[in-house]
Amino acid sequence: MPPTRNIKATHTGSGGSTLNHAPPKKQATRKKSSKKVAPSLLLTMPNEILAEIAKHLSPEDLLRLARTSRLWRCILMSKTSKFIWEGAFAELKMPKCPADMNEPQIVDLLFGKGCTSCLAPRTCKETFFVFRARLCKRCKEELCFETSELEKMIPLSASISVEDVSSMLPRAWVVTGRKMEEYALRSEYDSIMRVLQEYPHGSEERNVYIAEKKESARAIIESAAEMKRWFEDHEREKMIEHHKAIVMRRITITNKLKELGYTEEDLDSRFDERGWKWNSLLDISSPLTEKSWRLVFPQLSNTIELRRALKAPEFHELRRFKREGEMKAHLSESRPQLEIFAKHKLFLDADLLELPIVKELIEENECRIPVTEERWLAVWNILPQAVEDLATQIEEECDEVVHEAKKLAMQLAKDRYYAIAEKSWEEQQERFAQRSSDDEGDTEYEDIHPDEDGDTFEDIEYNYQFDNRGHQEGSVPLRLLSAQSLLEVEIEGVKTLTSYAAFLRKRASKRFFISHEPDCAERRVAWSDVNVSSSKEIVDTAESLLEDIQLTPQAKMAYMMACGSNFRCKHCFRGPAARGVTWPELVQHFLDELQAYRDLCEKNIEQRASVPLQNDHCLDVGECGRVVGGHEHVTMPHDIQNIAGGPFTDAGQSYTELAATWGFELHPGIADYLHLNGDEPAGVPFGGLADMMPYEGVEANNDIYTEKCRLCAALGVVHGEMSPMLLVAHMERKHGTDLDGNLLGGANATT
Amino acid sequence: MSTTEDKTRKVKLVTSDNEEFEVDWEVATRSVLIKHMLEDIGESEEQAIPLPNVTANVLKKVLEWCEHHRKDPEPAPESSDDNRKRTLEIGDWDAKFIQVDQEMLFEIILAANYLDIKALLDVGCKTVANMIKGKQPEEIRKMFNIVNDFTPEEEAQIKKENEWAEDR
Repeated sequence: MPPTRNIKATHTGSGGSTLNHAPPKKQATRKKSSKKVAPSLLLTMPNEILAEIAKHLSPEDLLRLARTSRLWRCILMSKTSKFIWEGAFAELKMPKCPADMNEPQIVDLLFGKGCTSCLAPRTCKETFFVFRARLCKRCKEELCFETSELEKMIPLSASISVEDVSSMLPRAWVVTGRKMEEYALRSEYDSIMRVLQEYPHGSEERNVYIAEKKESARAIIESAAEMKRWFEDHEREKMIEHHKAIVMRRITITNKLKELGYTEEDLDSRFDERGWKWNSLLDISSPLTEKSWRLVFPQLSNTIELRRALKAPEFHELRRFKREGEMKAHLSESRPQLEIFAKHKLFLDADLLELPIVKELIEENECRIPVTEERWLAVWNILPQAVEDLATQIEEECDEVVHEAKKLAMQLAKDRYYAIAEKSWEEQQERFAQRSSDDEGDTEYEDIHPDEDGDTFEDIEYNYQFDNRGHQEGSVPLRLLSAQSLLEVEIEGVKTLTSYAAFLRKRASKRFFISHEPDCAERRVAWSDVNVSSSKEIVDTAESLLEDIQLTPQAKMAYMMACGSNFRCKHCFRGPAARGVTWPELVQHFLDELQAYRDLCEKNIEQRASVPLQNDHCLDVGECGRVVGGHEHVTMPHDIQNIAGGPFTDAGQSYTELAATWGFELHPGIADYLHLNGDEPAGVPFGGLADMMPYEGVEANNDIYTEKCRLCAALGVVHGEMSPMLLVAHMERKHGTDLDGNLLGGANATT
Repeated sequence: MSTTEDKTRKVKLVTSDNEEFEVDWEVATRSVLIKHMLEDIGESEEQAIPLPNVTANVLKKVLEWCEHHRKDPEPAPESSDDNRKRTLEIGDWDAKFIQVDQEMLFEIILAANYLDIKALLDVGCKTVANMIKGKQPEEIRKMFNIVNDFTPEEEAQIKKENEWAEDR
């Protein structure tokens, strides 16, 4: 039944005969009142039509409509309109109206905004279904109390138990932080206590009142729970609908743009910059109308233009990534055959993708053409040869690098030898001259000048074997098998000293252990981006160390690899080198120590200081004039073959055996342990791998490294030790002085 | 029930501004009002039916709708009104048809109400409901030129008071 109006109406009464305001007449009226506000046509509708319109609205819309004007409020907030609300409730399957509320109140509670007590619109509020209110924090504290306080609140004179009062109150559990408390409304409590005081204790009325209140509280709590459940479901559904609407709009817009000829790339927002309008136009839940399309399209097309103009390189890179992915899929299928061709040397995807023919296929038409089966087959025909060529190139380049380094190292050794021999000859000459003058006629001197000695460098040349005689097809070049043949591999700025075999194995697809870091730089970077080098210092240090551990200069790398992490530096009493490192790491350690020493020497020169310095890791007698710690620098287990159960020194000469015989690959966890041990004294520049010991680190550990070296401080280097005893050791090893800086016998202030 | 003869019959309608429309019986009887009137006057073909509450331009629009929906099934009986659908969806043709200014929209609603064309009334009311849907009171006022006749105090109060008018 439509409601009747009990408010001043500005139009004809209800019923069907409301058409007496014919359009021509209306137009005339409107012209006259052009300066006034035109009357609302909606409000001129008869009641039954307004009711008919209202029937199509949701409860939320009804409440908002009721707040537009007196007329609508009068119509919708009348009990005669209850049927409209009920219809709207039924449509949303809302719970039935509880006895203590009406429909508009429920709608306001569920969908209204702001605090229902102070009406603050933007405060953070919480809906308390039991209290039929949304309350801000302040109002909640003001209006509610914790029921645990009831015991203190109820006066003795009330003659009622806490339990009774509690069950008469509508109560709500509220979570605040980690606390969960039961609350009730203060006003409700006051009203109950007031009424209780009116009835005499034990009277019938009082008992009835208590029973009624308990029942009503129970009903309120129950209906609140039902309301809350519905509301949460409704919100969830709304959210789902919202997302669906967004997806629909996105699809509609995308399709429209595609129809206009825009490509997938044009519609890709991943490289958009801040301020470019795209997602904000697409991710709206309101459906796309013709009108909104007219507004949105120019903005979208503007963004597309920006993408085309500014983001072409990024999209090119993205296409390349896709093409590479397709190519990788094909390559992985053909990998077994390719590995045979490359003798297991060239295994990385990155290497294969760098092959000119593969690259050409990927890059065709700016990477726009997918790598189809047909295109792949065209490549496959020539791929094995290309793979083999690159494998050979890798081998040749490594070989060349080692060859050069060995040549220079040999020259270094010759010069050193020559200098010593010449010095010794001169000394002898002097001695001879002395003796001759003392004792004329004595011709004991038989020594000859090194220039005149044709066999002077024979031994040295033999030590630095760099001929490849005996090299067979399918074998590792002999030069690369020597223990001196270490490569400095630089990948993305990180340098590592490694053997040729280890280098190849790291790039191999067949691994003994599946690495936990499959995407580490070593496996990502193509050969063309890897910088491989060696130097005379590397070869020379390796050669000196071989001599030191009493191995022949002809020792094989396979043997050194088989020794694993068993090389220990005797100069160090802490750090990885003291605990045991691999052969390349050992060489690196000595090189780093030398570098650290040289850095300090430079500081000495720069600052014109005369701080005594010495390299306690010096392998070259000629350089610092004194070897600390005698002739043995390094220890290694000589029965290594028995421990590992193999391999012999000539193992690993064939590529196919490389991965299987040259020791075991370190588990990443163990590798981490070796390099980044937690016990390692951070910031101590000596005694470990120098590059891992930043000087500044000491300052952060001031509490531990309390004993500071005065001599280092003079060079602007902070060096600390944990105890005076360790400081004494440091002074002796690194400066050749005692604790007070007095030179010990033989040490010099090196400048 | 209509007979084959009925379907070939023509019906004359006269608007409030004295314009005469001759339409097929099938089209005219989309209006329950006209249908009943035709039943009342019987077979007399010549007699024009006066529609004093509808102007020519509105009737033209209404007849356009009736023409398009002439083959639609008979409107559901009155009793099923309770089972009304709250969906605000409107068919594509109807949606285009009802894209008119507000004045014409309300005229069509009034005419549909007067002529008792339930389906057209529904289209009109749904269109208005769609215009209201999801809008804040101020937006609704703006949309329909409704004057806010609450005082600021009243406006604040109505946000708190949601009881039935009779209970206040």
